[in-house]
Amino acid sequence: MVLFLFLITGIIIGYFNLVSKKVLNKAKSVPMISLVAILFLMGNKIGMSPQVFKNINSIGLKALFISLGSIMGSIIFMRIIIVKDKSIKERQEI
Amino acid sequence: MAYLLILTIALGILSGLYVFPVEMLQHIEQWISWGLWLMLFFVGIEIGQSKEAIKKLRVYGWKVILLPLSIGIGSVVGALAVSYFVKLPIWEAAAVGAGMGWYSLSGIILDQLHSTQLGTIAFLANVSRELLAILLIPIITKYTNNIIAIAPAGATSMDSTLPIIAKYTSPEITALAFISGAILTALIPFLVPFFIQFA
Repeated sequence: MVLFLFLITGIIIGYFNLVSKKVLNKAKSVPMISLVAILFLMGNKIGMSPQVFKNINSIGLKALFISLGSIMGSIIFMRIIIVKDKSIKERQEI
Repeated sequence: MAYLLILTIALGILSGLYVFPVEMLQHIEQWISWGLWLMLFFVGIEIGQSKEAIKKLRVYGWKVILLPLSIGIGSVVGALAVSYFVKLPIWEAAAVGAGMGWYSLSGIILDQLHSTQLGTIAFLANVSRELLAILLIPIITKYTNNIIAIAPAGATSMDSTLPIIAKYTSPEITALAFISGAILTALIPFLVPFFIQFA
């Protein structure tokens, strides 16, 4: 819920230009820096969970194939829907 | 950029293993949510500035729901399709696939409702989905700069992979990616327990 609060606040600020372009330009690299920081911290979390490492060989392979299946499934179903639905197809060509 | 992000995670894992003590885990969780808030704030500004996209969203209306719908169905069907080959019972595979990249939540739910092993599989599968999405989004957009790029991201297209989607696609697709991710994020807490009740 807090996530939505930050996001919606950002959208309102962006939509009504409540913060000057100058300030926004200075903060340009903030989103990418915070992404790198989050990913570093997420790595730490993985490193700190022994259960993730214990069975990583047998379980990791299963997990990888499930994720590949889900990704392929999502891509295929989206392709089908985009082909079927002209409005979405036109939209991506804009 | 994707390689930098993967390297960052690898460094984080090493640091989690050898540098930071496990007692820091709670702080790390807190820092991650703060970082996410900050990031979402800026992503929000970016979406808000693309007024054209917001206008178009009003025009297309409910049809936007077709995007998360196809991603959701594809995630579960795709997981079911590989379940036989990895010797995972179908409902367990469906529940893992329904995590759609939200590894913390799906991992915890399946650990609680089923087993630690399935929780770990869900965690790893959805971590892997997020990492693969980070790798795939720049590759997909290289060949076709279109909405297909948001499919691998699943629910993460509203937060962790949104900056990457924003970088490699248009503000309009970024806005759609957020809406799709937000709808999926709202569905996951219901879908994962729904599928695992049959296991």
